[in-house]
Amino acid sequence: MGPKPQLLDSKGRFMLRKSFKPTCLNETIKRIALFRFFRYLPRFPKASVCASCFFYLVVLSSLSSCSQQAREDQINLGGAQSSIPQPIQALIFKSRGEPNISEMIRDSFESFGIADVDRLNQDPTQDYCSKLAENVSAGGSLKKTDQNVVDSALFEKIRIQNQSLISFPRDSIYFGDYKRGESIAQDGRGKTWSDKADQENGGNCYNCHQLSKEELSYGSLGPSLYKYGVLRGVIDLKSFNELTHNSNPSPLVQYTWGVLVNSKAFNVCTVMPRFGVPVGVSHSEPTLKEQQLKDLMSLLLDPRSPVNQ
Amino acid sequence: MQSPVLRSNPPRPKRVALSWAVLIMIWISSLTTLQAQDTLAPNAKSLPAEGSSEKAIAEYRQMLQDENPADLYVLKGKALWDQARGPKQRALSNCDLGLGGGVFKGAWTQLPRYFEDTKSVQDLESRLLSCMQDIQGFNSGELVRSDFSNPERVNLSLLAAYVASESEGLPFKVPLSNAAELEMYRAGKKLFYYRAGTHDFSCSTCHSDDSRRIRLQDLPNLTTQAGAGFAYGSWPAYRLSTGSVWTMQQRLADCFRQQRFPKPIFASHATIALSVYMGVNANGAKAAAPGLKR
Amino acid sequence: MSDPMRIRLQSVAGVTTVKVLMSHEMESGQRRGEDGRIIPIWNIQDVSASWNGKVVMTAEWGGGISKNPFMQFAVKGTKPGDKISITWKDNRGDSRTDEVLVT
Repeated sequence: MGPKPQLLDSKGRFMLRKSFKPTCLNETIKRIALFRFFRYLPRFPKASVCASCFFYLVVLSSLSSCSQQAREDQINLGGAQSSIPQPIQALIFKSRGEPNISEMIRDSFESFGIADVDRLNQDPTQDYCSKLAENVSAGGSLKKTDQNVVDSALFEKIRIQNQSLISFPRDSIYFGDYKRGESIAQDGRGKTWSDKADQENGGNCYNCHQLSKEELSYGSLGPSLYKYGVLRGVIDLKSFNELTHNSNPSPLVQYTWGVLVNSKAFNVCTVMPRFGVPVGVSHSEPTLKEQQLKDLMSLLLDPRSPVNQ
Repeated sequence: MQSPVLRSNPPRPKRVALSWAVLIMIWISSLTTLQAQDTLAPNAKSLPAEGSSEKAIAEYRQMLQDENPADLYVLKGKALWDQARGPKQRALSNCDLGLGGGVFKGAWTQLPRYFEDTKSVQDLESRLLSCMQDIQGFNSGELVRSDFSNPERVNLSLLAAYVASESEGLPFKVPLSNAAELEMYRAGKKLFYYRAGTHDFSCSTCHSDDSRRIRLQDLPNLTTQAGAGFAYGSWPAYRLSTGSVWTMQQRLADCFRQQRFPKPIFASHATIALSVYMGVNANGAKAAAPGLKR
Repeated sequence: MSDPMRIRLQSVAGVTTVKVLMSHEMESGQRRGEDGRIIPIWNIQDVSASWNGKVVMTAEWGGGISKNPFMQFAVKGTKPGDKISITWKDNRGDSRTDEVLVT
């Protein structure tokens, strides 16, 4: 009969067991150092218990991601667990190897009509935003605890790069016809494999936004743009003429134009497409032409436009 | 020689036990919190409506649920199943959909899955395609290269509608039982978040949150059990706007078209991977196919 | 050779609700094909419903009724064992009759 295994070391602390099976759970516990406090339990019981409560939230989040891993590694899910699989949270531990899907994509898509397979090559914005969306918490919104998956330097670099792509009308005229703007907002055609290369594309604005009061068939992916101009002080023709007759575009004009042309310059991972710049590695033509963008500016800011009634 | 510290300062059993009890309670409460995240699948055939126009549309859709023209197509699919067809003039009767030759009940709710004979993960349409090839002698390459209006591809949709209808009301049990299935799930998830094309769209652009809609069309949240169960579980479906039955492959192809992506190849790995992702997310939710769509 | 109709009956206290789902293309004659030519009209013109051989409902359809039409009506005073039969006739001269018994 050999000696009993030692529980405590020479200083009266619990000894960290070196012979742990390297499972996810044990790794997590080690890393959040709960054990470090627990080691001192024999000597400072009150302090150790307080420290464990303090780590409650951290434990909770890491445990949920451990269960997610465990669920994925389980031999048979079989419907026994009906919990929703959460996106893997890259908080405490690194995800174990990102799957490389470029080969799968190459084998699974083909060029058709005007949609070429090189549309699937991501530019830096698309690449960054895909990874961000995959790694943030469920629901797609960035929480404070996810900050360490946001590469701030790269984020800023992409934002500036998108901003540099915005070009302004050479004739310094930012406005057009709001009636044409309304039909551009209603039109969802363009750039699909069933569309033609030389057709005039639509902005498909009502897909995602509310615009005029009359149009009830509007989407909820983007904020309402109803009364866009009125809410920003363009309440009558006088204030509108101040915008249109000014050779130096006001901040409102610059911002509205900028968002229409390249929304990513203002919100890097917005779901809103980039309508006025060539998108993607193959640098195709922008979706909307300059005159169409001017018509949309009038739709939003002209006090006579249906959006501002 | 024994350590004097060890002898003179033994741990107090009561306080040690208390600390362990606290830890165990934390562990148990975290587990129960996770399981409480299950959401009940909403009424599988409608999403909550708000506002008067949405309410009216929801009522209209509820009235439509009464009779689903898909049932007519299910009957056609059933007839096709037992019919001797193709170059080999044989019936599909013994096609193995994962539960053994010719077993339909519960077959669809465990697809996509890995199949030993083809050494790949297959969804409903690709499995029917390989059965049509192996048992009946159809040229699957030709069928893949043609389009959805090809008569045999239409027949494939009818067969799919029939097989899916045999699992109506059963809970999804898409397996993650081996490396291939797990790989497909993770690839499908990555593709779900893959932004590309002229509009920077990915599946997640539209389908990763609740209460979103395009125009007046509600968008299911495919990252949750409720949303995935509703969406994945209601295709194949009869589409009133086209007067035809669409399968998930066809639905995905049209999604990619509107995403401004290039065309997905029929029954390709990417499409199956997405079905694995949606199917696993749907696990536990009840299948409602064949569905009825606008 | 047309596809069968699906007829479903719901009897409550002598009132039977008849729900019929018919399988028919119902081409309106307004659509153009891939070649640009109008697809010719092909739709159900007359529908009649009989209860134990007596006609209880007739309908004149045409353009405006969509593909795979669904129809619902109620018959008062039915007893178990009564026969409900539905007949449709289309503009090509085809017709079809299907019948069910009230339970």
